[in-house]
Formats: sequence, structure tokens, C-alpha cells
Amino acid sequence: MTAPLRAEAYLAPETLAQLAPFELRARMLVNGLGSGMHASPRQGQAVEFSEHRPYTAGDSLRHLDWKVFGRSDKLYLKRYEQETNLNVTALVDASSSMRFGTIQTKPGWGGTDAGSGSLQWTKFDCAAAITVALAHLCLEQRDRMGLVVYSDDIRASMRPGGSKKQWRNIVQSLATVRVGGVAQPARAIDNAIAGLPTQSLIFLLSDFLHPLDTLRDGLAKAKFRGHDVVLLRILDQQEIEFPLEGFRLFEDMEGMPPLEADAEVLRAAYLRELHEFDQELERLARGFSYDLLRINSHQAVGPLLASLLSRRETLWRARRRQ
Amino acid sequence: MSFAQPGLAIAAIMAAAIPFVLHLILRRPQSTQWPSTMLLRRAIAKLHRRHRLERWILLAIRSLALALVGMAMAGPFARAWQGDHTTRELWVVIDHGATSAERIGDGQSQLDSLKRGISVAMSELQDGDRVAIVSAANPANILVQPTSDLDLAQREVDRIRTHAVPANIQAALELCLPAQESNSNHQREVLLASGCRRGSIHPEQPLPAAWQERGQHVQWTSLRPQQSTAPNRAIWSARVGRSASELQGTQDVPVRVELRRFDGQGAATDSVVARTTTGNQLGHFTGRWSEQSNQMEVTIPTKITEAGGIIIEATNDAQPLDDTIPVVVESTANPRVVILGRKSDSNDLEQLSTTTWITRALQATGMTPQELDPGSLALRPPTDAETIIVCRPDLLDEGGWKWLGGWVGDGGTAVVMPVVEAAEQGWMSELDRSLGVSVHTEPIAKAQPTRLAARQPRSEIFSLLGAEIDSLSEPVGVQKYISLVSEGSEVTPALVLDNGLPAMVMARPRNKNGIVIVFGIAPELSWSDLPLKPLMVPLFQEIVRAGHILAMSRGDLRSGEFGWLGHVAAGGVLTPHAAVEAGAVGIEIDSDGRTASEIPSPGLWKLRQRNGKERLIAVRLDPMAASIEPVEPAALQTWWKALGEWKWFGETEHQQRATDSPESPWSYWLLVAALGFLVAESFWSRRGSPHTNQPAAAT
Repeated sequence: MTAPLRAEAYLAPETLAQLAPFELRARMLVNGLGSGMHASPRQGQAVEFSEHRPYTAGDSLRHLDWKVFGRSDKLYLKRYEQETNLNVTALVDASSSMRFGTIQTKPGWGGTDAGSGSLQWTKFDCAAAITVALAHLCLEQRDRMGLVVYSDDIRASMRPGGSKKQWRNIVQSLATVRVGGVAQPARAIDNAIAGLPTQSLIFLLSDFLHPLDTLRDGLAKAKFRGHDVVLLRILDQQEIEFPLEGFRLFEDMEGMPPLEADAEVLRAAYLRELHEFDQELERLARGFSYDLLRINSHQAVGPLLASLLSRRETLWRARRRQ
Repeated sequence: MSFAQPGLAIAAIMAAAIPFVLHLILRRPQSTQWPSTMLLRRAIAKLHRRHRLERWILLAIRSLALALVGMAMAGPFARAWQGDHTTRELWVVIDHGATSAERIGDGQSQLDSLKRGISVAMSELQDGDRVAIVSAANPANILVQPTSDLDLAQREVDRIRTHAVPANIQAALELCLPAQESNSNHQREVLLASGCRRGSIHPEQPLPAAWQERGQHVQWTSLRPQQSTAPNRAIWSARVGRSASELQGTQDVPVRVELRRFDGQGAATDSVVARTTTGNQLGHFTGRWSEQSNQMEVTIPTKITEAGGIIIEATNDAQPLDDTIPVVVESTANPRVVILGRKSDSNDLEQLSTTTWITRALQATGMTPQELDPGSLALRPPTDAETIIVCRPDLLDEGGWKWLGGWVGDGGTAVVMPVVEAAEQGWMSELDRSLGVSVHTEPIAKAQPTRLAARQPRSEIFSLLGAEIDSLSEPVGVQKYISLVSEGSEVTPALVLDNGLPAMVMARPRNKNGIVIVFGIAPELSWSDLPLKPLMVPLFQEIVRAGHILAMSRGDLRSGEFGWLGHVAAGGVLTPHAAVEAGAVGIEIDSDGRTASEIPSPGLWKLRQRNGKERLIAVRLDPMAASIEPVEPAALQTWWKALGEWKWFGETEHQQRATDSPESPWSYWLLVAALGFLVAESFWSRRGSPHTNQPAAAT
């Protein structure tokens, strides 16, 4: 059983160290960017004291803090915040394009089916590493973590769970899932949100190299169900910079007919097209108030995720103070 | 386009394919795995539109640059910039005018030689080439429009015969100029087939400079003319002599024939033969060339009492067309003269009237004038009269004047004498009113003795009398006269008195075809002694004969030109007279008395007038138009230069090779063009191209 062990190597100590200060709290992630949401305490099984406020006429006496009244002869109401188990689901794109990678793996980096043949650190490897890190963080904080690996169909699916075995199952799934086919994100999102409770947090990890129309439908459904989605766009550095030269026969990894072109002549137009596509994806994400994080597969994922979590926590705290 | 080194030219064209081959060979791409070509396809789709044209331009530039370099090295000779696809269109201008009849030896004529040259030129034409045949014999016209049927054109050339008319090379060349809006793909070439004789080409008349622009794309060539000619002699002119001295005491009419010789030297005798149109031989008449002169005159005495024509021929030589000339001799008895007056009954000379004296004078020349009472003119008008002498204008009634005016309008000659019997000339106003002649006088004759001037004006009515008019006029004394005054330009004095006043004026009335002659003196002894002087007979004879001729305005008619026969001939038809002219079509005479077309040949022609009368007309070939003197080469080249570049036929290939030399401007400009294309290629190639095989639609 070498595959899971290889996958465990994704959790590099420096990555975990970079992510440790952050909490994957539903109130942080969901409320942070949720439109129209406010920090409204909910009655329930797990209610956590938040703060006191002076009593005013008409307030219910149900939440009056009698202990404070007894000690100071002043009326204060206790305020609570809902505390839930956060449902987090990672949707990982396992289409053929995610097999692309141009950096050699190094010892201890682990690996998946995507890069096993070429010993290249693929975009799917990067996505798997991020997922594993998120799962570790999530489970450590007693939240629930699920996984959907999709391509033209659902390759692997795990409902959110918070058991100790959940993390290992996630790692194993990512390490063994077959990477290939053409991505169908709409179907994956449909499948993922079908069994999720409302207001879940969904990480969508993909290169998004497909028409965005289908993605738009899936994101719209997630929005309707009250989920928060973070889009993690993973591209190889060669895709981002296009440093190729000479006359090339570009063989499409997702099965489209090959394409002959002069790479040097094509570079500027390609980069311009990539930029425009990225802008379109960002407009799509912002339209749903979702977050978009661009990830270069050649770079370490720790600082990127730390940056994302830091930004969202800052937003959450700012809303709490309002 | 043809090449001095065709092999190299072909290699150059093949070299143009090198970029294509290299393009195909060097496009082996390096295989690259790519996650998704979606964005690549989008990028290419945008690039494709912009680079599609650039890519082909680049290829074309490379190919052209190579081709131009090769062609510059091959040394092209281009007839024009149109390129190889342009076929030839040969316009042959054939001069078969009078000079083409020149004999050049071996029984061959100049025209035969020109035809051979044309055949050689046409044999060089290839399939798709066209040929047009243009006649330069006046009037110039296109015999064969541009056609690729070379056999048809050759047959037409074979049919061409010499026309005894002047050549009009200029008009023929103008027909060959392309129209301004012409966009034919044929390279037009003009070949002038002419002996380049003085009769055909007139270097002193330069070709229009405007032709150079229109003909800048035309290739001009000319058959090389022969510079040597055989000695030639021409009948330069022939005129019927009728001066008083010539006619004195005889009915013979001398015909004076002028001969000129060219390239002939020394004293020699020569003769001409004359025959009538009826075939009667008038005999051989000999003249002698003097040592110093190339002109001589031969006199042919004729005894023709009826109007008729004679043909005068010299011995055929190098130019046969100038060895014959037709002449029309007018009858001395035929002119129909009517005298309006009254004879005197007395035989006393002092009592003889003007009418009697004039009748006697005309009878002395063989004419039989008819006397008519002036008062009966309107009742019995002499419509067939050619001359009416009005001796008693005072007796003409209003109807008579009106008829006389109409008759003059139709071409009659009216002679008006002063009235001796009347004290006042009250009829003078009718000259202006009825005859349209602005001549005025005092009503009373002046009785001042004088005489006719010793030097008379040279009037056209007495042109045949020449200087004799002076000697004949000098003895004539005048006792009484009426002073004629006129400010009209149509009136000219023909006889003058010693005091300068006109004794006789001739007028061409306004809007009338005939002429009017007004006398200031009367041939009556109480006014002058004219009836007793030698001037009397030739005076009235010339008035009748020359007046009639002038009224018809018949002068020399030339073949190949329009003729003017006077208003009297209006509405008539001119037809060939002799059998040799059989088959020729009659020429109509328009309302102005002009022939409707050029007279096609010299000889005797018959004019049938509208009133049914017929008379002979002599049509001559202008001897200058038949001149076979060669034009000097320098003058010919100067004349040709107005057309731009031209060359002799037969030197074409030589000139091609000269153009093909490496120093040729063609090579220079081709190399410059190639360099320009290479610079453009660098520019375009730096801009780059996606070089994709992916059509835009696939994206």
C-alpha cells in the first residue's frame, strides 16, 4: 500500500505550519462573504457565548444574565453565536488536462496517478496536495470533510465526515483515482451538493480549461443552496508563461485534434487570450460572490492557502465588529 | 516577352518555387503535449484573420524577388510591360497610292515589293496574333479590321492594286493609333509598307505631337525603302490655250503640255501622243529638252469644233501614272448667248447699236447669239441660255428683272451694258435689287474723252488673255462713260479707264451662283471706238466663255480629293466617261456643288446636271502625289520621331539582342525591383505569422 503513504507526503511540515494559525470555521468562511448574512445567533445544540449588551425595554428576559445582575445589580443580556460543524467538500478536477506538469517531482513530494508515468509534478498532484492539506486542517478542527473527484463522470466521491479515518480515505482516493477524460464541472457540482447540508464550504480545484457556461450553471445551483465556493485555479507555469519556441504540434490532452503553430508567433496572442479567459472566470466568481485563487503548480501551496485564509478571516472579523 | 537566354529565364521561374518547397520541408513541427488547445485555438482564430493575407504576401514577395533576379540575369526583352500573355496585333499600313506604281525592275512595281514585305511580316505572326490592314491611299481606311484569320488578311493584301490617287499616310497612321480607352491585351505593332517617296510622305508636314502619347505603347516599324530610283519624266500639266494671238484667224485650239524630267541629264527629244475620247489619233508631237532645263513644253494643235476630251500620253517610264493626262477642250460654237436689245436698221457705222456690235463680235468667233426683245424676257425666258447680254436694260420690265435675277442665281452669266439711247441710267437700282450687285453710278454719263488704261488689272475672267489684255486695251479711246462705284467685296474691276475709274466690273452676287458683268462704257462709236479695235472680239468671247466657266467654278479636279463643280452642278452626278472606267460608281454632287466623296481615279468624267445637260470633266492625278523621288533618310527619321521609338522592319531581332545586354535598363530595373521585394520580404517576415494549419473555422 504505497499509494497512501506517498500521498501523506503532501503534508509537508512547512505547509501545515503555514496553515496552522487559521481555522476553517463555517462562521468565518460562510459568513465572511455571504451576501446578506449577518451574525445572527441561532438557538441550537451547540451555542457559544459571544458578548453582553445592556438590557433595553422590550428585550426578552430569557437571555438575561442573572449572575451579572446579582453581582452588579445591572441588567445585561447574554448574546450567543451559533457554532456548527463545518461541512467542507473538495471538488477536484481529474480531467486529462490536469495530467499536465513540467516540473520534476522531488523526493518526498508524493504523487498520484497523474504523474506516476512521467515523474512530473502535475496540476492534479498540486490539487491533491491542496485537498489533503485542507482536509487535515478541517479534520483537526473537528469539521467535516468530503471529496468529489470528477472528470467526465464522478471518479471518486466521499460524503463529508469527521472521523479519524476520513483523512486517510481522502488521501487514498486522491492517490489512486484515475486521471483522464474531459471535465464536466456542472455534473460534479450537482453530484456534490446533492447530499450536502446547506451553507457548506466547497473548494473547487481545477484548471478550468473548458467553456465556462457549464461551470456557471453549477455555481448558480450552489449559490441557490447557500453554499460558499472557493475556486482554486491551478495552472502549470508553462501554461502561464508559454515559453515555448519553434514550430510545434500541440497535442490536446483532452482529445481535440492536434494543432500546428509557430509558438513564438502565438505567444502574445495566447497570453492575451489566457488573461481574458482568467478575467472572465473572475467575473463569473465575483458574480456569485465566490473567491478565486490562482495557483501556480510550481509554487508551494502553503503560502497561497495561508493568504486565502488570512484574507477571509480578516473579512470575517470586520463583519463581526459591525 | 522573350529572352536572350531562355534557359536561365526558365531556371528563374523554377527558382520562384523554392520558397514553397522550403516552406513545406521546414514545417516539420515538434510534438508538444498541451492540456487543452482551447485557448490556443482562440488565439489562432484571431491571428489567422490578420496573418492569412500576410502569409501569402510573404510567399509572393519571396517568389517574385527570386524571379526578378533571375529575369534580370536572363536579360529580357519586352515589347511591352503586358507580359508574355500579350499577343501581337499587327496593323499593316499599305501605301498603294500613286507612288506604289513605280517600276523597280524585273517588271515588278513598288507595290509588289511592299506586298512581299507584308507577307514576310505576317508570316512571323503566331496563333492568337491578329492583323489589320489599313489602306493609305486617300481616303485612308481600314480594309481589314483586326482579325486572327491571317489567310483572309493575306488574300486582301493580294487583292490590293495601285490607286492613282495621293497617299495619305498620316490619316492611315492615325487609324492605327489605339483609342484612349483601349484596354486590349494585344501588343499593337504598326508596320508601314511604303516606298517612302515624296509623293507619299511629306516630311515638311510633321506628325501631330499628340500622337506620341497615344502611341507610346505601339511598336512602330517600317519596311526599308529603296533609295535609288530610275529616271522619270512626267506630264506636269496641260492647258488649253486660247489667247487672242493663239486664236487669231483660226479655229484651232492649241493644247500646251508641260513636261518635267527627274534625274535626266542633257539635251534630248521627247514626244507625246494625243488621242480623242472617240479614239481618233491626233498624232505624235515632239519637244526637246534643253541642256540646262528639266522642263519643256509641247503644243498640240486641235481642231475640235464640238466640246470633247483628249488624252495625252507620254512614253511609260519609272512612274507610269504621271505619263497620262486628260484634257477637256470646250467648243467654240456651243455657248448659247442671248442678247437683249434692239438692232439698228442703219448700215452706217456711226449708227450701229451696241446690240449690233456685240452680235458681230460674237459671230466672228463662231458663236450664234440669239437676239431677244427685252420686253418679252418674262414672257419667253431663254432658260437654256448660258450667257445673257443685256444691251437695253432700260427696256426690261419688273418681271424681266425678276426672272433675270433668278437665272443668275442658277448659275447664269449676265452682262449689263449702259444704255446709249437714254439720257439717264435709271435702271441702275435694279442691279442691287434684282441681281444682288451693289454697283451704283450717276444717272448721267460723263462726256470726258479718255481711254482704257495701258495696264489693266489681272482679272480672272481675262486670265487666259494674260498680258495681252494690256496691249489690246491701250488703243481703245473712250468719249463717254458712266462712273461705276461699288463698295461691295463681291465686285472687282476687270477693265479700267486711264483715269482709274472702272470701265467694266465683274461681280459674284450675294446668294447667287452665277456672275454679273457691268460695263461702264458702251461698244458704240458715240461712246468709244472699242468696236473698231482688236480688243472687241476676244473681249466678248472671253466674257462668254470664261464667264460661263467661272459661273460653274470649274477648275482642275484631282483624283483622291473632293471636287467642287460649282453651284450649277448641284444635284448632278459625276460618272466615269470612258469604258476603262466601267463599273465605277457615280458620285453625287451635293447642294453646294461638291462631290459627295473623293474622286477615285483620274481621267475623263461625265457630269450629268440636274437639268439634264451633260459635260466632260477632266480629273487629273496631282503630279506631286505621283512623285517617286525618295525622301532623304535623315528627313524621314525626323518625321518618324514624332511617333517615338521606331525601327526598320527586319532589325527587330537585332534590337532585341541589344536590349538583352546586361547593361539593359530592363535588367537594371528588374534588379532594383528585386531588391525592393527583398526589403519588403524582410519587413513582412519580421512581423511573423502563426504558420498554423488550423483554419479559423475550426476554432
